[in-house]
Amino acid sequence: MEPTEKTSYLPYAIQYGAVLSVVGTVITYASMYQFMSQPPKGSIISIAQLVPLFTCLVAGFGGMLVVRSYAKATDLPMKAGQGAVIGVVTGAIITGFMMVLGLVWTKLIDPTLMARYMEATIANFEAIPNLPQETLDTMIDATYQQSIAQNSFMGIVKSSLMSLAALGVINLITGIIGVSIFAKKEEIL
Amino acid sequence: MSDWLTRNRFPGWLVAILWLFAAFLGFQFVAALVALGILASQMPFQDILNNIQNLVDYPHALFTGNSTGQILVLGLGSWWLSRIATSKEGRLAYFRLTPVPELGKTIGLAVLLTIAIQPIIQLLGWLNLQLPLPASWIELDKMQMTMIERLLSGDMPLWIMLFHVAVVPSICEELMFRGVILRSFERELPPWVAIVLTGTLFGLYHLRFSQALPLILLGILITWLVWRTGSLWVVIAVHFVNNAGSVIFASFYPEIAFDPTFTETPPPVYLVAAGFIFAPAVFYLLIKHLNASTERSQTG
Repeated sequence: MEPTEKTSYLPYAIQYGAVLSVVGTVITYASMYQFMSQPPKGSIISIAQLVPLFTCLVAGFGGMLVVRSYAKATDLPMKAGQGAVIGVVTGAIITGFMMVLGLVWTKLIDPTLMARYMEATIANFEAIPNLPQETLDTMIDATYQQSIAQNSFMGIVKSSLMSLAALGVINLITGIIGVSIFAKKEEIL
Repeated sequence: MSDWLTRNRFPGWLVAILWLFAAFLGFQFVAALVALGILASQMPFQDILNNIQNLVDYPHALFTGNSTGQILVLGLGSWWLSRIATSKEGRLAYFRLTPVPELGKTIGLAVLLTIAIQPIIQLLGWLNLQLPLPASWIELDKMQMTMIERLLSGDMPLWIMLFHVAVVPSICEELMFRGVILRSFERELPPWVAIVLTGTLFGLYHLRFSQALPLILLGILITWLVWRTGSLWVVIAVHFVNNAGSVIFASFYPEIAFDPTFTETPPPVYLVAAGFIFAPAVFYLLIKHLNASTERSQTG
């Protein structure tokens, strides 16, 4: 491809967005199945609860990877603002793909997954030693309410918006970093 | 020499959205921190945690936090952010704070337009309530109304209430929305798109979804006013009159203002009809005045 300023970054953003969202979704659901397959450990925080943070970090590199490929393909000098736009768009694409994959998995492939996961979480709380009954009831109630809220239409919209905000900002930052690392510097005459 | 945003090819829409997002989070953080600080000076921290659901009972702390957040984040933050969009000398022009001809008359007509449009606003508010909304949104709205009701029905002097509800928002929200956000959208988008987007975001930013339609209409009107008149002073005055009017009305007639049936019933037909007659008439007068004013300043 002839390197010109007209070359779009979108194909790169879609490619990396698709790959990273598949990786993120696989890690998220694998950790949930792993959590459910084990006997309750009685820990307040489980690996499955921490995995979204890790997924966010992995998906956050999308902006940088797209900038790297785009800069390589066009061989044109880039500015921080261009990296920011590429990062935000990549973040939005990853969010979109992850939302679709999540809906397909939890509504079509394994519709009882979320209910089983909630039961496993409650069983884990019940296994926490020396936990007062009142606290346990509050935690179970909160988990139950959260599960209902997350599975509602508004809950899905809300979590997608939050994911869009988080991934958009992280990818924006990595996009700007990507420009400073990979893009050709403008020649000062 | 161009500004930092242009030199680094940052698109305006991205700056607008990022600032909206950052200001929202920053405002929530500062407001919560200040409110908790005030409450912590009055009661043990454990009592605050136990009463976290009843914080609306402490409107003074909540409103002081709200005003501090608005001043520090929305107002001063927007002023500081303009450094990357314009030069130090160009800052007043960027915020449209430079003098414009016949400002007094323009403000008078703009304020009159805001008053004339009130029945239409009320009608939209009622229509908005007919839409099916999630229970959590209605709860959030009720909580805000309770907080305002507690503030207005307390023993706080009227001027302090006006400061919290009218003075601070009319300056800080205008610097942010009609300052940074409108200017950022205007960089690449056609004016009407920038006006509609800014007005809509302004309406939604208040998180009062049961009143989103009237707030969006007001937001679009105020944004159009600043774009058409070229003066932020006009909309600061309009915003102040709109909010101060509500505070004064609610202070003197709380039984009407906080009566749920006031918003749940449609406004009287004669009032709506008056709104649909007077609002376009004042709008016409305003346009005529602005055109004549532009002509006079060009010839004179």
